[in-house]
Amino acid sequence: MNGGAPSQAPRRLAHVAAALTLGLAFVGFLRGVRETGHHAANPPPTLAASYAPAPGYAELRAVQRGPNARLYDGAFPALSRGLPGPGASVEQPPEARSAAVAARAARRAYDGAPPTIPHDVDQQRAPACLACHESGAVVAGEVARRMSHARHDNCLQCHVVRADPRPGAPSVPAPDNGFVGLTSPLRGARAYDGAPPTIPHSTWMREQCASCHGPAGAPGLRSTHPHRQSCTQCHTPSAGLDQRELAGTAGPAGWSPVP
Amino acid sequence: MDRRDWLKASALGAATAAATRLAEGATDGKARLASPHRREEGGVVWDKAPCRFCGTGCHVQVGVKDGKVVAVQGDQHAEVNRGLLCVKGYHVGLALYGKDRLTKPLLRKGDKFVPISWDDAIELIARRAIANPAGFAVYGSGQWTIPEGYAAQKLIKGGLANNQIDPNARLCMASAVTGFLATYGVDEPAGCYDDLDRADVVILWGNNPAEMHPVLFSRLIDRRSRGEKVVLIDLTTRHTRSSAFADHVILFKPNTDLAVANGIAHLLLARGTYDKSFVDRHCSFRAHGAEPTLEGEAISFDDYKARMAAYTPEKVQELSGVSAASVRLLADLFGDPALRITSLWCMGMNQHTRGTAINSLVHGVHLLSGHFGKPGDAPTSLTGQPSACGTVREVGTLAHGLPGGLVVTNEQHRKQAEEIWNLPPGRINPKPGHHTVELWRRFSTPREEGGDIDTIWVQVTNPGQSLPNVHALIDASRKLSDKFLIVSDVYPTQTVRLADLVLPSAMWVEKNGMVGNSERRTQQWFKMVEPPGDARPDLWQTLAVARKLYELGVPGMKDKDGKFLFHLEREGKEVPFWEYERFFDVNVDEALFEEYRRFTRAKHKDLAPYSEYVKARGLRWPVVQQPDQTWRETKFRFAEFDDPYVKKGAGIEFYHSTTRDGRAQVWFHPYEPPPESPDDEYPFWLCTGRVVEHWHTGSMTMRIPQLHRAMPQAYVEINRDDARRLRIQSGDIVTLESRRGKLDLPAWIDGRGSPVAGSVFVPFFDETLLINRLTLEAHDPFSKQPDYKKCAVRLTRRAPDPRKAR
Repeated sequence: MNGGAPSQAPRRLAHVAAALTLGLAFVGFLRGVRETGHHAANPPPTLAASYAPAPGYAELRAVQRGPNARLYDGAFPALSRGLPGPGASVEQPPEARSAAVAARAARRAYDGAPPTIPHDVDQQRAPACLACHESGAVVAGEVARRMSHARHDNCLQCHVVRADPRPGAPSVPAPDNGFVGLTSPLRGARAYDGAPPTIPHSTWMREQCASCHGPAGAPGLRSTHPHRQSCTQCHTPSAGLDQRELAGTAGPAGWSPVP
Repeated sequence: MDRRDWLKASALGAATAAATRLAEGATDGKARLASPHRREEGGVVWDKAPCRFCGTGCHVQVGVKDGKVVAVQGDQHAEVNRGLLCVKGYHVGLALYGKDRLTKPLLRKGDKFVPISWDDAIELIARRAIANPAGFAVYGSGQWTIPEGYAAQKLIKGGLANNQIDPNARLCMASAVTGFLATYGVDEPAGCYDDLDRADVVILWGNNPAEMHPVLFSRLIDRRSRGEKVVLIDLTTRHTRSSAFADHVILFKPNTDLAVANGIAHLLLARGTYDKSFVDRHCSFRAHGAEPTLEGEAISFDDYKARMAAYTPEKVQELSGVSAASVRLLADLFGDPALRITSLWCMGMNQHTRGTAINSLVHGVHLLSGHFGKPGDAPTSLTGQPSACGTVREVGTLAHGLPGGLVVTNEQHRKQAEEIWNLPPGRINPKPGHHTVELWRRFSTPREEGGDIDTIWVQVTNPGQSLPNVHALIDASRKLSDKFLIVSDVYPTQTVRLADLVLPSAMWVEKNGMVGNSERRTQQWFKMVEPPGDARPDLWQTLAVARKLYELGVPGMKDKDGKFLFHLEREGKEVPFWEYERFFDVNVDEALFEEYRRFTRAKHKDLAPYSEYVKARGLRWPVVQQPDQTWRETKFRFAEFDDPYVKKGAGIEFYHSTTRDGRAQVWFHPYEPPPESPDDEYPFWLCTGRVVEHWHTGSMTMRIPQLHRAMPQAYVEINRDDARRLRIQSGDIVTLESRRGKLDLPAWIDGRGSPVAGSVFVPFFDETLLINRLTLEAHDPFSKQPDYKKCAVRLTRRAPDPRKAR
């Protein structure tokens, strides 16, 4: 067939093109392999490294995301940094004690009564009292004292606010009441001049001495030696004030049954 | 005498003097008895007393200086509260010192009150009782001490024999009583607060203990901070402080709690997860026949199961709004025998026109699932008053009751009472008196129209504020000239303002007392301070009137030997304790208690001698003497491991069963719609209730500055969506109107609580905003307790917030 001769030239061209394509692919492959090796040896900063690994679905709810995710990180420790440390110098102006005791008395009905709350709180949901009061903090210049007692979760059971909790409610005068509460003892007894004073109040629900007497306590109540942490090593509590009944005293003394 | 002997002698003398001073009491030279707990420290004398307020029964340490209460501490030796109190308890001492204490007997003359002498006042009361003995009634309280209630009970049931005595506790826990009676045949919870220390799951049925029983709530949830797991489920119509601590808050439409309880029972039966062996051994089944009665009629287990078949989760969801998934969740818990489940309820289930029914159904769910009789597995009702259990339920100061769980309608019971009281046979009237709502309705109705009660003596309660529909039930009587209202109280309450004769009372530690709390615990205290002015104990007032009646020759005031009904001898001589100067010569509380104690064995509610309560911070009955002569309390009733009255080998025995076979009754009650539901005209539910700061009508707590400042005024809580629709904002004045009355209140949205859509909530402590002008006196057919939790009202925004107005 003479139809075969004219087709020889294009066929050769096709072979050359195929050979060139294969050659290029091979070179490309080698180069590609080489590139990978280069990356593994010297990893430059990549996009992947600047993102945290994607969380699993199980962790998704707990993950903090978005631009404000870290807004409050360290915020509460920062608040407590406002508190003076145990090494801070202690000023004890002589008139400060009675001022501190008077300020304390204004917040409670009698010595030992739960203090009222000087700020707004959530009236319905569990308020986050412990955020500040578990270890103490300085908020807007005010000291939020560490609570003086062990943790109880229903805080508003004992502590109530000082004014109508309804926002902006009119102020109504408090009722007149003739109760005169037990006052704070100003000082504990000392066995001799220079002896450590005994604790002049009950330590029940007041076992965290540092709450009032620590470095963040009001001037006049602060300990002069806040670095010493084991308070009852030197200052003894009173068995009577602490309701400790001695064995054998609970009996019907002076009591006579009906014949 | 050498120096050593002299030192010994003087030391002995000083110790004796100190002991004598302690024994005689520092504040009351007359007090012959003294507490062994009394201690003096820095000029303050401390002694134990139960708190004056709610039914939890916390013990406080009361500090007294110069004859006045100066401080209060939580009592560390008290098992109930372990040294913790709530804000009311810490301020309970201030309740004595409001500036407007009543100090003189006062008689109404026209619009004014004029002071009269105690003698004249006592004689006036006696003359009223003589003029119409059948129309003379006493309306008392769950705040009566046990001896006060007992004396009033004996005066009315054993003396005047008209049975016209009923207490405010009728408004408070009567449905719990009928629930216990219908189920176990005898009143009061089988479990106790120890259940809260052991339960894995606690279900609140329409109950907000974070505010109403805070010390118990803390006892429960503080377990979590010790690393224990407590699942708290809040079944409620209002999101509250308790909801804030709950794992599941299940909101339901008012009145549909019956459907929810039936839904749980249905699933236990359908899935076969009920406790077959418990049911076989300890339960019978019960439902109303054609004529509903408290005892009902026996039905078979198959019949019970068939009746419960309708309450599928989907049906319950349709009735109650509780999702089928939540019903299944509850049934899953009850169906798990490994869990310990405690149910708590208070006014939500009791102030209910189906109160007896829902109480019985909740007991039924516990019995059916076998969650009963092990520590932590208990259906437990809570009470709101310090002696709702001790005085009302145990002394039986209800129109049909006699002490110790006896009733006037039972001939045998009457005979028992007549024997203990040494009365001639037949003295006690078999016909019950009027229950509270009926009593006040008759007092407010003219004699010729059937108003057969013409004198009511109110003690230790404030019906002018706490009765439902007060216009109809009490205000109306003030227009009838032959009706006479006597009120013994400590402050000028709403009721005092309506009174004809006012008697100033001593309160709390101004007198001796005994009370009984929600967990069957009987408690005692001694007088520590003097009452102000001429105020005197209610007990003395009652006994003085009884004595006056005796002197005026009323035959009922004599026993069958002709002696005074309250005859009391010491060393062969009669003690004239009705003369007030001689009242504290003896401990009248002790004398009455020792007599009352004889009743308590009838229904195995045994009380110990008075001296045991002097020593203890309360004891839970039955208190049974042991072979070594000591007295042992009972924590878990009907359970063999703790209750000495259970037959050996029985495991559980309901020894007062209504079927007399040791079995409890598991009831079927259908869900039914309430008597008054919201409609087009009155489209909202009104629910009333309490707040943590105030106790009931606020007559004491509203006079305590710390509590008043924290919550000075009542308000109306509205659901946020309803408020938005009606364009109401917090602070706006809203007019609430029912078919019975109307009231303007400031709105508070998402404040202390958030009610479900279509309902509003108003606390009832504020006497200047009397919500009980709107409430409904419709009541449960068996307990006669009214429903303060559900009536229909409409709501209009009357004025914008006055603070925003210019």
